[in-house]
Amino acid sequence: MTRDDIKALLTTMPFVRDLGVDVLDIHKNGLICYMPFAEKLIGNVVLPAIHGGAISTFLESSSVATANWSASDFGLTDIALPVSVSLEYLRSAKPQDLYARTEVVKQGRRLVQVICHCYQDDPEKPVTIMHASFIMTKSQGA
Amino acid sequence: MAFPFDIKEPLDEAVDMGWTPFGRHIGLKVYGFSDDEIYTGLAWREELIGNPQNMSVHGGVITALIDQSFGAAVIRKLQEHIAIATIELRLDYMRPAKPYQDIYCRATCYHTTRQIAFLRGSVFQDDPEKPIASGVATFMINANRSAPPIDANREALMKRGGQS
Repeated sequence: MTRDDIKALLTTMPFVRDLGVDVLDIHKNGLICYMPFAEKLIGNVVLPAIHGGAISTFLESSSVATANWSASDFGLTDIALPVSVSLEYLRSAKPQDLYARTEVVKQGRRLVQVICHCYQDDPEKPVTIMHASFIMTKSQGA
Repeated sequence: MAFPFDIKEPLDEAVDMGWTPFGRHIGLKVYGFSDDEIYTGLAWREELIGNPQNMSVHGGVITALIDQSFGAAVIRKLQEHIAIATIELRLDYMRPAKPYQDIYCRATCYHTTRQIAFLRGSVFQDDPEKPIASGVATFMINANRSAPPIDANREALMKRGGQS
């Protein structure tokens, strides 16, 4: 899958499109993804900080894209189905754009496991880390 | 939308969890309470779909629902307007959410210490016995100085023993 293929996949997902999640780059084991800041993403109006659910939406979208990118070499073409996600919220996310660096930890025959580091100004200071596992399938006749 | 089982302390009318713009964006509502549990949900909408192949709502919507419900359950349990923050959250997806059906959540704050709250919850559609997802989380209590402003909706959440 090329970057354009991954972008095309993300735009088929209404809620991902709504939040403007994009793929910036492909590296050896994963992707660099991006979500632009918008007021609707706020979860704490006092700080202010982005909602944990908005961050997890971004990271799950990035992880799905990563799983499909990784599994495409194995002919597993259906959209990755999440099994479990685990989130560590390390710092509050400022009202700024978000980036995610994803990494395929394991590509199996049916399962793909991905780690995602979400950051803002400094990749060394992640705001959230997500671990996600996905089941990969191929439609009959696809 | 009607919560799919009887609630001990129902609210007269579901209350918008609009104290977060993201909660407002996806349409989170509180239906009522029972002791340390809070009952919440959101209406199905096409714009919330994450997987166009099975038409299921994006997992992030479910995470946002359970995360904010957990936060509300902590505030409800402590009966105090304090700043809280999610430390860790783990979510298992048992089955994809069915399209055209509203989504509900039952969240329990089952233990608190001075600094930490412990939560568990499940997310379901028509049948509470068949959850689509289940989750656990820990929250930091008094995380910072950002206790949210008290609005009428948040006030409703604080009242023990139903509505006044």
